[in-house]
Amino acid sequence: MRNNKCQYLILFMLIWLVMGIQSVCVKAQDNSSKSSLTNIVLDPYGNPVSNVEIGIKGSDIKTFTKINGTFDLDYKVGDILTYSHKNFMYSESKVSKKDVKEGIQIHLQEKSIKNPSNVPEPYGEIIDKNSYLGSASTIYTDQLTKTMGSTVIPAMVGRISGLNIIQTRGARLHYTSANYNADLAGLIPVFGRRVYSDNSEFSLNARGQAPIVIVDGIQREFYSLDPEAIESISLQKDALSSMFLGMQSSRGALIITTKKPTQGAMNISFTGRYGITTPLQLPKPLNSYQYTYLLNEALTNDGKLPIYSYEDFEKYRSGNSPYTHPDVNWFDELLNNNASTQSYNLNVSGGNNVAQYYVSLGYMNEDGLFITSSKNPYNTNLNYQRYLITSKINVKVTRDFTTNIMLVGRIEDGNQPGGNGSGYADLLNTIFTTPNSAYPITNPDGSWGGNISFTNNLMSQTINSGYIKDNARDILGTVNLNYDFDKLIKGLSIQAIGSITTQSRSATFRTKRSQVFAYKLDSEGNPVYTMYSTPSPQINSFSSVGNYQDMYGQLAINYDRKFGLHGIKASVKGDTRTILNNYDLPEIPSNVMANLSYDFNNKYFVQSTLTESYYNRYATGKRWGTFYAFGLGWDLSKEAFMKSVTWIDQFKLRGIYGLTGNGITNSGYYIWSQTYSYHGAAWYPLGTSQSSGFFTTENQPIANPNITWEKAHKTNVGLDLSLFNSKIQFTADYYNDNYFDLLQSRGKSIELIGASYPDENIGKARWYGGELSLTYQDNISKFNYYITGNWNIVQSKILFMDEQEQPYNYLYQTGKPVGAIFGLVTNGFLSADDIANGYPVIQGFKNIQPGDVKYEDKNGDDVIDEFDRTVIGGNKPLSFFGIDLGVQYNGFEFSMMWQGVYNRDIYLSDRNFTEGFLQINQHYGQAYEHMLNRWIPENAENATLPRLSAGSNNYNYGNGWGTSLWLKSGNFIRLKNINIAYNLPESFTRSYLGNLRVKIFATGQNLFTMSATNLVDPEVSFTNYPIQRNINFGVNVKF
Amino acid sequence: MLNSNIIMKSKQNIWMIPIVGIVLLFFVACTDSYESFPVEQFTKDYVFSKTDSMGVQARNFLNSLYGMLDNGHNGVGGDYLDAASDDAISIKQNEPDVYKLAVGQYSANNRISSTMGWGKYYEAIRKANIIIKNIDAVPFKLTFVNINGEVKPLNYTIKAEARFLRAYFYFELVKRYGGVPLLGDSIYNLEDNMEIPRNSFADCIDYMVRELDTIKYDLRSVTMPDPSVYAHAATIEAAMALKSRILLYAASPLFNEKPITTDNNAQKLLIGYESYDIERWKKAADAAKYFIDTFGPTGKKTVDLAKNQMGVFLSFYSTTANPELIFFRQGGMDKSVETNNGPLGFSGNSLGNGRTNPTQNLVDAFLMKDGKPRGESTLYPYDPQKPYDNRDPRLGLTILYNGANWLGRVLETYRGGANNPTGTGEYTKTSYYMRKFMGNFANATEYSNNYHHWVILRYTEILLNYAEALNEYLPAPSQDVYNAIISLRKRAGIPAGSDKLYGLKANMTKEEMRKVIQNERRIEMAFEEQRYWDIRRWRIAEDIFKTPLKGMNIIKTLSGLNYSEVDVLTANFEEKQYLYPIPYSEVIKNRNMVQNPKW
Repeated sequence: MRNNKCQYLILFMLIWLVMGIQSVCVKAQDNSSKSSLTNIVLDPYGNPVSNVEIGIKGSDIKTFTKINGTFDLDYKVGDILTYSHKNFMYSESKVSKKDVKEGIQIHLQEKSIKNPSNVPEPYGEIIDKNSYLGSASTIYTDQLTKTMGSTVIPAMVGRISGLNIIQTRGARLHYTSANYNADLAGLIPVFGRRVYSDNSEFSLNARGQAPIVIVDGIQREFYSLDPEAIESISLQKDALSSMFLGMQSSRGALIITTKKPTQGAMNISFTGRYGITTPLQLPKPLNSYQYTYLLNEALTNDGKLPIYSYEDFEKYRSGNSPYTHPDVNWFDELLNNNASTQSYNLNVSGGNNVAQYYVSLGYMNEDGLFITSSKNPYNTNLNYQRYLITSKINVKVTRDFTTNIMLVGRIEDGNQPGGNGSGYADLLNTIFTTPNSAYPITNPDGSWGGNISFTNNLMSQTINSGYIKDNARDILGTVNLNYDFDKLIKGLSIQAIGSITTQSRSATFRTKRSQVFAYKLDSEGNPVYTMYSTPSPQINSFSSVGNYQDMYGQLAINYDRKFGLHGIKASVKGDTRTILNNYDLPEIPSNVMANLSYDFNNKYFVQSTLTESYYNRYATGKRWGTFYAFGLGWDLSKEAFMKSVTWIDQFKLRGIYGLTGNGITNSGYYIWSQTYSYHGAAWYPLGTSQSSGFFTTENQPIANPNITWEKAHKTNVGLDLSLFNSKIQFTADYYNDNYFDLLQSRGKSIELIGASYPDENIGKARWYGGELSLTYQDNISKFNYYITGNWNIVQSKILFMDEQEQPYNYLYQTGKPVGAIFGLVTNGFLSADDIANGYPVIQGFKNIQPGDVKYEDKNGDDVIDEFDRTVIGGNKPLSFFGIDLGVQYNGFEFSMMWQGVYNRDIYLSDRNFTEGFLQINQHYGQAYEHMLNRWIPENAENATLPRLSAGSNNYNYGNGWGTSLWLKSGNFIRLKNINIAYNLPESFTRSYLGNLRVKIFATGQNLFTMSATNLVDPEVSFTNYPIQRNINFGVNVKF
Repeated sequence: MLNSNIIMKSKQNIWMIPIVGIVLLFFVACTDSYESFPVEQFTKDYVFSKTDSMGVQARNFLNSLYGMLDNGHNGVGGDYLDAASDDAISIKQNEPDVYKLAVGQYSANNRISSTMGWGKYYEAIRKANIIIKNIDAVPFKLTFVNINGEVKPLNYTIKAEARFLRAYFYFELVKRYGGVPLLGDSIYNLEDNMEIPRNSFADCIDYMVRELDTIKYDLRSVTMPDPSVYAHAATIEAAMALKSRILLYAASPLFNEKPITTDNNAQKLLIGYESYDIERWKKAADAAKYFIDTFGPTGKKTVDLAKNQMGVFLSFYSTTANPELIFFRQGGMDKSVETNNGPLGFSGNSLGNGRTNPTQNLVDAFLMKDGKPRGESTLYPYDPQKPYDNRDPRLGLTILYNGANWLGRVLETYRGGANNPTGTGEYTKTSYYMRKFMGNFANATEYSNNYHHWVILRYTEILLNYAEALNEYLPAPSQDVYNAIISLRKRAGIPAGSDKLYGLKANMTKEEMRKVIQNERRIEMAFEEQRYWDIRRWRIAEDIFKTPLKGMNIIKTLSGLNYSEVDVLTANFEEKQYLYPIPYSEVIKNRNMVQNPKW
């Protein structure tokens, strides 16, 4: 824990800052309280709330707050005041003596499911929700901050309709590989590598596409943000709302908007939380006795010589010869049962009507599970720390001219054990594959254990191989200028945005390697130590991993005016980016777009956007593309015939059609022109001098002079329903997206050409499905409650992929869903009778025995071959859902959130897990407890696995064609989140804690999982860092 | 581009539109001082530069073509290709590629890519064609002198080397598949129709031979000028040696006398000649004789047998110490062969992984000390309990057996011995390890670096080619046939004997001599990727693999060591396996592509 000195310092500084600001704040409060009695209602951030209905319980007296949040009411000590408002939770307060003397000040809590009147837009445009025709799903701070994580992605799981998130890894990958090859001729850059994403743990998918992330208007792979600093995250899936992405509009946009400055007295909010994480579902390895017994069985099955004698078994069973017959559970030895994680955030905002500010400071620290040694003066554990500073200032320079300035600074520090020099993922992989009996951790003389096959001791790799550090530093600055030309032309304004982003990543390797010794007793019983592998001393190498620079500029002319019942909005926008990534030539994507919207009385809506998009890495003359979308909307509830139906607030039908594109990231690096390159690395030594011998080669694949972006015709129709004064909100969407010009390899990619074919714009696929979301929130007196849920279905179909002739129809992929899994169908295990009767088998295998997998001879030709493959999974319409429900009563809050997926298939492909006993040099690898259920003659009926084999058995592995034996249902439902919180009563805190408002809370994440398969975690694949349960406690203080 | 109609509505401010438009376009068009196409990505004009009289990049391009040559050292999924013949097996337990080859565990769709190259040879042919087509653009001032003493610019020899390598890669295809599509000098593009049919076997042989004959005077000869740069380059000797090999294969039973049977007429001419012609043996014999007469000890003396057989694989670049080398693939200076194949039971810098386990079949093929086959020598009777005593010296140079000296120790390859351990998954299944290609480490303390180049053509093969072809052509072996074998035995250290026949029987019949030549080829060229192809072209693989391959099982008892033979691998060989299957996808995608018989 020595590495945490600095974090205590930071904690101290944060607290100091809070105290300091508080004293200033209290002073300010004192100065301002000289005015006469004022009653005011505020939102959680200190902004006055208008139009709150205030009553005195038990009477008919009622009043509403004014625009500045104040209200006048005759009350006396002991009265109970009630507060109701559409967007805030119902609450009551008891009038105290202090209230009568000083006036009432109350903070209302926002409803759990916020329903603001605007839709978040990338560049801060104000889009009225009533006129929005797209398909968007948005979550806000309160939902986000219920989850703790190093990125904001876990907070989105299950909450955003249409976004399917699967966590494939429990900890981030640390980017340490440099973007160049060390070479004879020096450092040679590797071109065309994209900037590293913040996200290496989750797969995000909306309607079959990975959405583009936009943070405050800037497109970046930027997920590692402080949830406390984020106002909203909005997924916009349709063609019209993603049209601003131009050439990338097919992918949809995930728009992250950070918090904005607020006007009024200084508001300070501090949140601190501390959590304990526990890994979920680590696999259970066989102990040494079981392992060696089964390995002997496997070897005997294969007709190989068994390795262990009965004497050996006895020693493994008794454990009394731990050096020659060890039993080391590497998971237990090298991984802790839990790790800590903590985060702190301070938000300050305020300002007058000329200038407002917002500052956020955040710190996050996440430890990994690897054990550490107190002998090291440095930390070897996996660790991630993030420092994030955001500041925003809005200034109204004149009545017509406003400027917004934002600066974000982020530092990410990673640490990981030295392992074998390449990071924790490899170390973890070795832990998963090394058997318990492989070698003792240390020998009797204290040296590291090992042998000819295992030449790098795992314990040494974990605590005695140094460490690898990585850093990422980001700076992001944006200026947004807005000039209102209302005086010249009513409704006209011009907006200019300029933004710069830089990131630099680097890594420092301080790793070393220790030699290992195989310990043996010779025939006289004397110990013999044999050394394997040479030690290497600690190195100190630095590598520059990435340097990234992004400049963005936008100029927009907006026109927004109402002519009576006719609303017109129009804008013309041009934007351009210049991206520099390491050695690459700059990427310059640019767009010019025109929007036009019209509405009649907020009842009928027409909107259209035309975008001309440019990208400089396509061939000359093929760089500009045209994309467009238009939409129609009709709010039935505004019609005269619906006027009488007062319980319907909104009944909006909407539809969008557009032509979108997916380019840029798949455009390659100038691949439209044939290039040749020079390799100093792959050299063929010349002559007797064995020198130089450099290569110049034609680059592969060969040039595709016609490369262009992929395209899609996207249609989205939807219905928005709002009932009973917005208590019920219902949204339904149906989409039908026809993708074409998908980049694929051509069917006739005949090898005689002597080169590899490039991807060409060939494929066609259809993605279609629907999304439903329903929210109900209400209160029964002081008991506020809500339930919200979303349900989604995604289907796809390959329409064209230039497939070549197949002998059987079931072998065609065309017509099947994208990602359908092909393989042999298994049908139990072969019996002796089957073999005697000539049951079809795969040709060429010499050692087919009873207990081997029985495959279905699909084409009936009495041979099992690749033509017996068929779709074994991945062909059902994927469905996923999230359910979130919660209650609030008198300051007490409870909520829970479930995530579920069904019609999902997973293929277990790791042979270490499915077969075990893989060959590792001259030994065999790990096997897991499910192996005990293998086929043996006595258990032929109930066996779930084929007979054992050592050193891999390709027959039972389906000869590489895949088998349904290892296709498992990936359906699961997880209790992602439980949140319990208590807000100290404002009357109490006002009396005893100054103006503090205090909320204490506890959150549990990944608490419970119901999974269709119990073999592995349904999300995380084998050998990846396990997903974790996180139980955390925290406090939020506002004043 | 700008849809400016939208703001046209307000007439009084039309002046704004062009201004804003210009600003927008400026934004978009604002590029900076970078090049519009990456300069570090070369164009063809740069590679074959019209201004570089040194042709630096063009020569680098040729070098990448040399880099396509296969390295046979542990080159087939980590094993020697001959570990898929009857000479050796792999130590690996988990079905290595050579195991799959031996048991026939492959199909057109599930090929063993480490040896069944198809696309990669066409990649090499494309590279060669790019050189052939473009090299003349380079204004070479460098020159070379050919074997006739003519001085020519360097592009002649670069082009000829490319054509030699192209023929070599075609031959790699032909011995695997029979006739294959010949592409001529074409470099195909994305727009070209690649549904090209196979050429007949005869066409392919003719093409390769014609090419080699055409280019021979454009190549350099040994001794190579400026060997520090060109010692690895293809020479006229290499071209003529390759021609000898090609014609020998063409005359061999698999293509000449007994091709694979097929009812399909389309296939028939692709996989061999239409009918047997003994004159093909004559052509093969003539090609070998031309080589011997022109370059051998009686001709220009550029090539001869090396004094020490093992020196061929260790002392490179010295035409005096090692005059035998004709063509090889450059490897590196390392311990890789030793580390991969050295005996188990050592560690540190003596670590060996025992990859290649020679079979008892191969050990049995080695002669007795006097050149007589095992069991037929009266001087040196064979003792099954002392199997390695009084054997052909080549045995000790090829194979490490129990009792051999290695790294200053006496090898214990009996079960449980220091070099054949129990308690791990891997142990030598035959009690043998490969010795060939390794440095002289019998008395060393640990391995050290050696050149491990892969020898492709050497003089021994030409002598064996000559002996074989001539023996097949003549009704009975002539003295020339005897002499070729005798020269090899003499070099091996076998005593001449009283009849000066070095253990050979006098007056052998053609069939007896064939057996001798085949055996001599096996032991002389073990692990050199000859045996694997020889048992195919001789059409004897189906017979050889009928019986299981043997290893030695040595048990240590109180009274000493007990030797007994054990079966180590039951291989499987069907007629169709004489040729590799053409990739299934190639047949499906190309309507003109005909698959080999029975695949």
